[in-house]
Amino acid sequence: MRHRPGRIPPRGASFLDRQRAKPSRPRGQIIPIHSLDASEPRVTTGEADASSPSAFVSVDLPDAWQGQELRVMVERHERSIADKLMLVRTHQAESWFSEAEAELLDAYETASTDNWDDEGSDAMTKRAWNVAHRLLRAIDATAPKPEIGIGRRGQVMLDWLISDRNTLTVEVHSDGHCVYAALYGGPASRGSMRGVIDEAEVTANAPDDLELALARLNRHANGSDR
Amino acid sequence: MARIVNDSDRLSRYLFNKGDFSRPVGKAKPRAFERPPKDNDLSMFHTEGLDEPNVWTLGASTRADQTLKARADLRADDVATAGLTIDPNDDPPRHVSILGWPSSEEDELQVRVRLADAATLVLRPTA
Repeated sequence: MRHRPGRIPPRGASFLDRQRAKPSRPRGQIIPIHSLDASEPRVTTGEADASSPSAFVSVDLPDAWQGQELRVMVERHERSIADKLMLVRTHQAESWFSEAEAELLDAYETASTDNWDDEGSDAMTKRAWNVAHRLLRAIDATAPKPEIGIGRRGQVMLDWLISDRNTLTVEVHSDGHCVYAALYGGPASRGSMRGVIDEAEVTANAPDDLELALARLNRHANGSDR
Repeated sequence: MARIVNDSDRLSRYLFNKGDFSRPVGKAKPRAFERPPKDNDLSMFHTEGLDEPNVWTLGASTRADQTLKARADLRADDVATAGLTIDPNDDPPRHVSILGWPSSEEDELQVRVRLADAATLVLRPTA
């Protein structure tokens, strides 16, 4: 059974149902806490010590929001900060993310069991899905949208074919680690990058190596460094 | 008699999945050169000397249960430049196995990226 985005899935809903039920607010929108509804994170605030400027914030994430990157921003520090707290759902502007997220869900649906292609390929794990989702969210919105595919070992494949000579591929494997390889530049100055990214490095900010690879691809594709 | 593959000969990787290539960019993706999980070799075909209709006929015959969508052509020396070796085993006819893949994942991906970069994508003509 499928659910419209923003609706609360019933108990026992599948992983995909929960992902689909996530609130569909535009990315990057600042959400005042008092406007959050029951399906969204519940935020409580308090002051550790009346004489201290410090305060604590507790964010209780419903299942549907698991895997989302959240930042809590204090607009202005005051004794009572409840009305001043804002949730900022990452820095990435509204862009290709929703489309990429839908493609990632489709990929998971396609490859959620072993031998999904009748060629003996491995299934995609939820862990790979989650890391790929975090990675897509963390990548700078000004970067081009990657094409999303499934590898034969169940890895999520993100391909940036920025031009016929400037490409980056990132593979997110079943245990959450990523490998990447890039080629860029013209015949006179061909460059390459490759490496491994640990799952823990995929946070709200894109790993530095990927940002660097995308920047190099863009620079060469724009012809400024051929 | 053993099949001989010269450096400049054409080797073709037949593509049955549209996710193996980018139509807008006109390039094969690294996924196109990924081996099955439990195999050590990648299957390609020595298509040197065949005319276009026969190149497609050969490809379609390799997987009768699926629709052939495109192929990625390489020169044999592209394979060697990527550090791989070619075993022209002719089983089935014109089949070659690509061997010698690196053991580390990032090196293997880099090889596939290089093969995709060197390959010429040819879309199957519509009937």
